[in-house]
This record gives sequence, structure tokens and C-alpha cells, in this order.
Amino acid sequence: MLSFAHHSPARSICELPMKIWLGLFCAFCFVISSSPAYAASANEEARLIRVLQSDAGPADKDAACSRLKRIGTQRCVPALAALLTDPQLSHSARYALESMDLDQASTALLQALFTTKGLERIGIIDSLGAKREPRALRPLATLLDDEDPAEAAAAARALGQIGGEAAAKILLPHAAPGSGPLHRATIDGLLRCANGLLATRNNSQARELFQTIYDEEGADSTRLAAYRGLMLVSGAHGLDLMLDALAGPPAPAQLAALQLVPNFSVGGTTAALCELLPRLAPPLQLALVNGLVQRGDASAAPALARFASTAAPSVRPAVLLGLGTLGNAATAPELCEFATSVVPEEQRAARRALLLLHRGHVTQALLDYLPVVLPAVQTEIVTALAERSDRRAVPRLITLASDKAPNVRAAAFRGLGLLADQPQLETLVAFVVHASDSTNRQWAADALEVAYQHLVARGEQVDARPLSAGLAARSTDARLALLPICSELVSPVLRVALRRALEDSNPRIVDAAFRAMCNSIDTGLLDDLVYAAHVTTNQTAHGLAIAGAVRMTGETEPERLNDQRRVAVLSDLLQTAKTPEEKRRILSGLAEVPGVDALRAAAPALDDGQVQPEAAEAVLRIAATLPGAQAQEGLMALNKALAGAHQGPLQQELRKAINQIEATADYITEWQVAGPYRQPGQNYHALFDVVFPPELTDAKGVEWKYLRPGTDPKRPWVMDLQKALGEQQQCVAYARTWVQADKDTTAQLELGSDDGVRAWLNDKQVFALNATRALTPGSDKVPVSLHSGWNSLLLKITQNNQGWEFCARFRTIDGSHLEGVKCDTSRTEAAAN
Amino acid sequence: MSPSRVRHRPGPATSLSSRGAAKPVTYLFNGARTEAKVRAPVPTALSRRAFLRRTGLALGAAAALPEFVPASALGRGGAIAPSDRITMGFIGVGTQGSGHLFGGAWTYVVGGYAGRREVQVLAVCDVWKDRRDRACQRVNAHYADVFGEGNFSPCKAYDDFRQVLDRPDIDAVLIATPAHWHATMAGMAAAAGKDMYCEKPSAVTVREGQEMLAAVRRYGRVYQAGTQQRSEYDGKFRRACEFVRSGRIGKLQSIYAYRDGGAIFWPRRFQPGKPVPPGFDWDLYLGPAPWFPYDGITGPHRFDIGELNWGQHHYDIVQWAADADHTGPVELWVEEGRSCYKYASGVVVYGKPYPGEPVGADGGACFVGTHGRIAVDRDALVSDPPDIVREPLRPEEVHLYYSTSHSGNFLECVRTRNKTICDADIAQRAASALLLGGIVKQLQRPLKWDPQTERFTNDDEAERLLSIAKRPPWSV
Repeated sequence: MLSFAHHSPARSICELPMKIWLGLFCAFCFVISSSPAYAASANEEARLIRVLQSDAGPADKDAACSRLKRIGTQRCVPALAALLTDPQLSHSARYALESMDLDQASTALLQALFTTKGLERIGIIDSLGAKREPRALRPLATLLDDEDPAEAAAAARALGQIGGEAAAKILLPHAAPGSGPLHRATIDGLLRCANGLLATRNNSQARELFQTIYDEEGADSTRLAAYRGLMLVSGAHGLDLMLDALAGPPAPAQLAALQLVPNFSVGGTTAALCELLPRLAPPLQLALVNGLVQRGDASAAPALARFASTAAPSVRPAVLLGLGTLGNAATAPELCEFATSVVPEEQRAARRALLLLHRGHVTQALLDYLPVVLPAVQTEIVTALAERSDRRAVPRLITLASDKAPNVRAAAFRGLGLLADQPQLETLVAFVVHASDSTNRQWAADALEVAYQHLVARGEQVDARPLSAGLAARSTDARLALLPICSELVSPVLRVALRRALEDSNPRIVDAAFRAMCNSIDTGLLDDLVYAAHVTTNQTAHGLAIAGAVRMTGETEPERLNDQRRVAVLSDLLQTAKTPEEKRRILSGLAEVPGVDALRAAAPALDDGQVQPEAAEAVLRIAATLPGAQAQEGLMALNKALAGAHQGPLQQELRKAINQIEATADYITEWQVAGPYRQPGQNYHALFDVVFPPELTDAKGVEWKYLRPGTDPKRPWVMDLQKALGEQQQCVAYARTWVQADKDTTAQLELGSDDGVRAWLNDKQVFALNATRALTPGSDKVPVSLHSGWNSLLLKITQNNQGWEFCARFRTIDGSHLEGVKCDTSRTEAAAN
Repeated sequence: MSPSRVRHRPGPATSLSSRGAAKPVTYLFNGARTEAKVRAPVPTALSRRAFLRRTGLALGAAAALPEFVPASALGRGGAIAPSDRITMGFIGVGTQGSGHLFGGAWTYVVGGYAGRREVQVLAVCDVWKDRRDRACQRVNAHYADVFGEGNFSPCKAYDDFRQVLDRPDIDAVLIATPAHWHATMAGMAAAAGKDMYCEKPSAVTVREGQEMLAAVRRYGRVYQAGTQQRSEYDGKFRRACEFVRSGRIGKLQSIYAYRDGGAIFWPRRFQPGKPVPPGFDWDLYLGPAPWFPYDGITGPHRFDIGELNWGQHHYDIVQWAADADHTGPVELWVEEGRSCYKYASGVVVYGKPYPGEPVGADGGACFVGTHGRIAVDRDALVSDPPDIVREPLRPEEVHLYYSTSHSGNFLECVRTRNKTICDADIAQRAASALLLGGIVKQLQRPLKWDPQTERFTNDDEAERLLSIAKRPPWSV
């Protein structure tokens, strides 16, 4: 397969022998070109003309046409014209002639029009239409009566492409009511003419054509097209046509009218459509409302607002949504009310509209409305304020948090929780500390916790000092309200505060601090929890500590806690676990950790009858993450789990996993990689045959890198070159490994590659397939001989674009596991020999 | 520097609800390494969690609000018939087409179109007999199951798509054929009065894209391009474009499209052929491509070169973010082997990845502005600085066409005649951006393009590459 051209080498392409030259230019247009084209192409064109006039085969002539499409001048036209009557090469000649903006090219096509028949003539007609050649009008007119209806239809289509009043006059007499391909082509030609006249502002002629088609055509699709044209061509009257169609009976005109609503540019359109809206049937109302919204004309908003309360249930949500786009601050109260609707569609639409509303002072309007409405509406207002992210509302909400009315205070605190920023944290802590009663304190603490959560979620460096300061308050109730919030933050200051609180004389404070620690996201407290699990004799506290520690290992990002540490912590906890519930929890944590260490930690629990199913589940999940080299260990654990599993879904899953591993077992995941290699002017297909240094036995300076296995956890046996070498195109890479056999063995090398692959075993090529394909494991099966000791295996993988990967393994000739074979990339070539 | 990643980072409500409440403790571990008694549990924790869960859920529900889809319908010929199903024909039921039909990676709706209650599939069409028969049997089996009638077989199988277009009882078609067919079939479908969902690329030459667009406009049809990223993937692409167009990264300066231009090519003709397998229509497979003997290769993208298959996904998003749906490049060139171009706005588009930024490779792009950058693909939406994409879109910022279901948006617009989220105008321009990149890669020299007249202003050879003569009798 050829590819895009790259910069041509210094040597002129015209100096190449003819055969090579034609080979290079055999595809349609993807050839090496020097620039500018014409300056360097005179000799080339002469050569190509000679090819066309020679006894060369059709393939060479086709390739020459492809090249002349790009560089041909009037000189090549006669040679191309001679091919137009050749059924094999007529299309090839049209590649070139259709694209040339030359009178001579059109003349050649015109001259061939009546020396051809059938498909060749149709092709020439199409080319004349594509070129919009006005000289073709008269000849094409004669073809409208051709006995071959396909030729006549092509002529009608081409006349439409050429367009203009003259073409329309030719077509009109042939447009009598009818059906069939010729009739459809004639009407299509007329519609093309009419739209062309519309585009060039010949409105009266265009209108006449559209009207004729609309009046005389029976097909809905054609009448729709004609009515569309009538509306567009009729200026102000077009609006009347639109309104008549919308208000009239169901008809193609109605669909045409609806379709033009978004972009119809006649003045007064929006107002007229709004006036019409209530008088239409609901389905039409719905379509019209959506069309008005797509028009984006805000002057429709008052009418839509009035219409919202009377609209049918099926239409109202669209109206509300439309108000979000077109409405303004005055619309906000109505939308707030609808946001409490018990009709889910209405509620969703109103809520979304409140997020879209942007004209006028919407935030102020919402705040003004907040104190005077029912709690349900207040909730919607607060949610809308928060979702609108307009922090200008915060000062007013702080004021409202001290309002006399409890529902206003509650709403204000909810709003503050969602909108408060760093500067308001201290204020919120003060609300907690100085609250007049427990309800207000709870509202304030809730707001503070939500505010912290939002700040954390936004990835900000959260200031924990206001919270820490609040914890130093004398009020026990305030401290009890603030302690749980500590679990939301990662902060050395709070770590200290929590540890200090554990030593408090008040057991309620100790209780709250310990639970905050168990709920914390701060892995800096993980050791505290592990220690607690080891030393506490209280079973509930023990369970809480384990639950907290397991959760912490699962929720923490890898950069804060690596897999090795997770396994260590969980293994440690497993030693302290006293109840089946605790063991299950720890096993569930291990199940989330990939790798053989986790498997080794979980597998012993398969012998514990109390938690055997959970251990089996953990083994199942961990085994799926193991790379090919560790597949055998995973298989052993899975088989053990299966032996102890009861009949049911788990047993089936275990069987499935075992089968899957066995199917993909033995794939080699120990590889070194070198590349990418490329060469100017050569695509991946051509590079397959280009010899790069890794193929040479005496190559020096090849940089081999370790190829990381298991980058795709679902296919750990696939070696991903994209991941290793970056996203590449039009190149090749090499992968090598060494395979040790304990005796001389006949084996089968199973390969899969994206794209092509060439394989050498012990420096001897054993397989080559220059392909463009996705990876299919084992798509290529190659009988090979492994000798006793180390054997070198080298693969060359080509890359077109997108995926770039491979897989390989040795099996017995019948495809089963091959004993006595192992791989190692640490072998040097010398050792291998 | 790579922006920090925010791949589905759980929000506050999620992280809270995943934890649950601690149970009351009677005896607690003491941080001072001793044990102490506690007298009473703390009762406020549950109420706090409950409150936060409520708040969080309300917030989440609003944030994840699905597109509102009205329920009424306009029937065929303008008849208002809310209960009418949209009748559809599926042209091409290979991997992609059957994915749409029965549910798969491209439909994003369980059960596909066949499973939609508002759709009745009346025809399936494929040049492979076994494919069309299998699809037809499966559709009929599904309907027999749904309607409880064993002999209910509303769906018919066709070899020639023109027979599907000729059926007056079919409202819309879904075109999932090999790429070289797309624009031709779309134009013919429009002329036959069908609305259509058409897979990408929307065209394989710039000129046939224009012809397709003209046909869709001429016949007033609803067109949805199969560039579903504007609707799917949790709105990541829409949000990225909204952030860019709202100025969150300052003035947009450059876009890294990750993939570059694409084009069509015809293989060497007149080579020895193989016997055409039974049940396969080779001539209809080739369609507007030049005829050559069957050679055993029948994939959907066998004539593609470069990024013709995937490129339109990327350039669709590039165009959307650059507010360039109505226009195209003004200058094109090749840099490091990749096609690049510039818009009249000055924004430069590179057909390659942003150095060191993996997000963008999967259908996406990286947008670089004076105050930061945003990268998006199907898996992630990230920014540098990270806050850019974390702050929700404010009402006064740019809100783009909102759709959460590409197929649903298409069907909705078939009923209401509204513009789809990827209509023919948008599709034609996105395809052109891709195909112009293919031309500049072939020529390897700078080109100037007039997006108004859609012509090259400085290069006749480039102008000639805007079209390819089709094999008769096929034309748009």
C-alpha cells in the first residue's frame, strides 16, 4: 500500500527507468512529487503521453492517467481523449480530464459524447456536469430523449449541475408528471437550476421553477424541496408562506417550514412565529419551540414565558428549557417555581434552564426571591446559585444565615456550603463555634464540611487552620461538630489535632476523634490505624480501625501509596483479623491490588473455611492482573480456589478465568525493543523490506530498551509498541528475546501483530507477512525448531497508524502447552550463541 | 508540563457516599497508646452524612441532567402522528452498521436502533448476503419477540441500496458502508427524500462533500454525521469546546489535532483477480471506485490513506472549539511530516500530538491559549492549570449545542426538523479540514485556501485533487 509522499530525494524522478517510474506512480495520486509541479513536469508529461500512446498495458496507462490528473497540460489532452472510448480506460482518462480547468479538456469530453455509449457515455456526461461546461447544454439536450433511460437521466442531472436559465428551459418540457429514474433526475436537475438561480439572485426565474415543481410534482420529498425554495425566494412573502404552512394541514410544506425556522432571515419572523405558537397543535408547538430556540432570538422570551403556564405537558419542558437560553433575570422566579414541579421532565428542564439563564442580573433576582418563597423553592434557588458558581451571592447568603426565619437560615447555609471559598472558611467555623443552638450549629458544620469538600475536589491547597483553630474552642459541642470534618482533609495540622483529641479527658471527644481518624482520607494516619488494630482489645474499635485502614489503601492514589505498601499493610492487618467480617474486608482490599504479591497474600486464606469464597474472589480478581510471566502462579491459585468453590457464579467465573489464562498462557512478555525506524519517502508497507541495523548480525550501536509488559490489564500478554515508543506512523520497530529450551524441540511459533510482522529464529527468517491489520492472537502459526539451550527470537513489526502491538508464544505443534521453555531478555547475544 | 489529570475524579458527594457512617463504639482505642472507655456514641454523624448525601445527589442530578427529549412526533408527509415510529433502513450492516442496529460501541444505547421503541427497522442492506440475511433475521426475531407474534417479519433484506431508497415507507436511513460510498449514498438518499445518519468520513473528496451538502440542503433533509463525540462520552468534548470558546485558556493560539490529513486512493488496477465469493456483490462494493478484479480485500477502509477513517472525529472537535464550523483553513503546510493549517483567526492547527500530552489521542485534541491549555479525548478532560476544567461552566459563558445521545438527537430532529448537532454543514467543513490536510501532505508545499469560495488560490495541482471522477453511473 502506498502512502503519502515525503520530500523527494535530490535525484530527479525523471531520471528513473520507465518501469520503476510507473511503479512509483501506480496509485491514484499518492506519488512523490517535486515542486512546483509544472516547472519540473514537462519531460514527465511527455513520457506519460508516450505511455498512453504505446502498447503498454492498461495498468501502466491507468497509472499515467492518474499522474496526468495532477500535472497534465493541454499537450496531454489528445492522448487522454483517445482513451475515452476505451471501456477499460475511459474512467482513467476522466480522472485527468474532469479535473483539468482547460477548454481543451472539455472539448475532448464533448467530442467523445457521441462516439460512446452506455457507461462510458454516462461517465462523460457526469464529467461535463461536474465541470459545469456550458457548451454541453445543447448536446445534453439531445440526450434527454436518448433511448437509454440511464443516459437520459445522467444528461438531466448534468444539465442541473450546469444550471442557469438555459438549462432550466431545456429541462422543463421533460418535467411532465411521472415517475422513475429519468423523471426523478429531471426534477432533480430543475431543482438544481432553481437553487442555482436563487443563489445568484435571479429570484423571479427561481420562484417560477419552484412554483412549477411544487404545483405539478406528486412526490412529497420533491414538493418539500420546492416549498423550501419558494419560502427562500419570496422575500417578505416567504414568511407568509411559512406561517400558512405551519398553520395549515399536515403536508410537506409544513416540514419545509419547520426546517427553515432556525435560519429564516425575513424581518418579523420571530414575532410572527411566537404569535402563531399557541394556536398550533402540541407536536408542532414542540418543534416550533425548538426551532425558536435554535434561532437564538431573545425577543421570543416574553412570549415563551407567557406560553409556559398554558403549554401542554408534552411541550412545557421544551419551553422551559428554551427560556434558559432566551430568557433573562425576569424569567428566573418562574423557572424556580417550575423547578419544584412534581413532573420530572418539567423539573429537569427548569433546573437546567436556571443554569443557562444569563441575561440581566440573574443572581440578584434569585437572591431577592430567596427569602419570600417556600422552602422547596428556596432549595432550588440555593442549588441554582451553587451550580451557577456565582460567588457574588456569598455576602448576601452570610447575611441570610442569621435571618430570623429558620427555613431561610437553612437555605442560606446550604448555599454557603456550595459556594463558600477559602476566605469564608473562618466565618463558617465561627458560625459553628458561636451557634445559638444545636440546629444552627449542625447547619453551619454541614456547610463547612461541604465547603471543604468542594475545595478539595477542585484540587486547591486547602487551608486547615480555621478548622484547627475551631477545634481549640472551649465548647465541647463545637468540637464535636468540627471533629468529623477533619476526615475530609489531608493536613499535618489536623493530624496533630486528632492525635491530641484522642488524649482528651472527655470520652465523647475521644470517640469523635477516633472515628474521624477511621474515616479520614489522610494516609498519614494509616500507621495510627494499623497500630490501633494491633493493640486494641475492643472488638468494635478493632473493626473500625481495620475498616478505615482497608478503605485508605483502596482510595488513595498510587503516588501516595504504592502497591507494595498496600500489600504490606493489608497482610499485616490480616494477621490481626479476629472475625470473618474483618478478614473479608481485608481480602476485599487485597482484591483491588494488582500483582503477584497481592496474590501471595490472599491465597493462604483459601484454606480458611470461614472466608474461602472471599479469598477465591480476591484470587480471581488479582489473577486477571498478572502478566504472562506470572500466569502459571495465577493459574495455580485459581485452580486451588476452584477446588474449594461451591457450584454457582463464582465457580463459573473461576473456570472462565482459568480457561482464559490457559488460552493466553505462555505468551512471551520478556522483550527488548529498538526503534522506531523509518526512511524518507517510504511508508510502512515499503519499510517491511528495508533492512535496518537490528536485522544485521554484526549491527553495532542499536539501542535496545526493555519493553514493559502488561500495559493493558485486560490483555497483559499483548506487547504495546505505542506505549513504549509513543504514537508513531509509517515506521517499523524490532523486538527481541531469548528462549531457552531444555532439549531440541519441534514447536509452533504463534504470532499476532498490528500491522505486518517478520520473524527470525536464531538469525534465520521463519515468517514474513506484510499486512495491514489489527492484532489477532495466533493469527500466524509457524512450525519451528528450537535447539537445546538458548535460541534468539527477533520480530520486526510495521506500523501504519493507530494500534501498534504484537504477541508471540511457543506451543506444541497441536497448540498445547510446551514444556521446558523459558524466556529471558537479560541474555546477551554472545551468551545465546 | 502535563496538566494534572482529572479522570472521573469523584466529587464530594461520591466520596462521601462511598464511605458511610461509623458505628457507635463502646470502647475505643486511645491515641496515647492506651485504651479508654467512651460513654456515648455521637448521634450527629448520620444526620450529617444524610444531609450531605441529599445535597450531593441533588447537585449530581442537575449536573448530569440528560438531554430533554420531547415525546411527540411529526409523521411522514407532514402528518402529525405522535404514535408513529420512525421507519428506518440500514445500509451496510458490517461491524459498524450492526453496532448501530443492535447496540455496540457506536450507538451508546443498549439494543441499538432496533431496541428503540420509537424506531421500526424495515430494511437492512449489505453487499454480503450472509450479513444482510443474518441482520434481517435478528431484527425480525427481535420484533417477533417484542410484539409477541412469531410470524411478524417487517424487515426485508436488500443487496442494492437503491431498492431501500425507493421504498416510500422508509423515513430515514443509516449509512455505514465503506468510506468511499458515504457522500454518494447520502446525496442519493437526500434526493429520495430520506433523512440520514451517515458514518464518517462524510466525504472522501472536498467536492463530493460539497455536492452532498447541496443535496441535503436542496431536499431539506435531516442529516447527522457519525461524529458522535459532540454528544457522547459524558459531554467531555462539548465541555472542552465550551471552556475554550469561553476564553478559559485566554486567547486560543493553537490546536494539536493528534491526527493529520487523510485521503482516498485507488489501488493498482488490472491486476490478476480472484473468483468473487458466492453471496458477495463486488461491483456494488466498489461503487464509485474504479473497477478492478476482486482481490479478496473488502474492508470498509481499504481505499483510505492517512487518517481518513478517524481524522474527522478530531477535526470535528477542532472546528467546534475554534468556532469554525462555518469555515475552514486559509493556509496549509507540512511540518515534521504532518499536515498543519491556520484559520483566518490566526489559530494554528497541528496534525500531531501536543508534546508529552497523552490525552487527545483517542478522538481528541489539545487546545493551547495564552493562559493555559486544555486536552480532551474520549477518556479524559484535563487542563493546565487544572482549575480550568474543574470550575463548572458559568451561565454567562459560551454554552454549545447540548446533546447526550447522538442517535437520540438524530431521531428527535427527524421529528422536529430542527438542526442536528452534527448537521451536513458542519460535517462537510470538518471533512474538508481533514481532506485538505490530505492534499497538502501529497503536495508537500504550502497552500492557500479560500474558505468562502472553497478553492485553492495559489495551486492548480491542489485544485485538481479536490475531486475524483466517479465510476459511472454513480454521482452525488
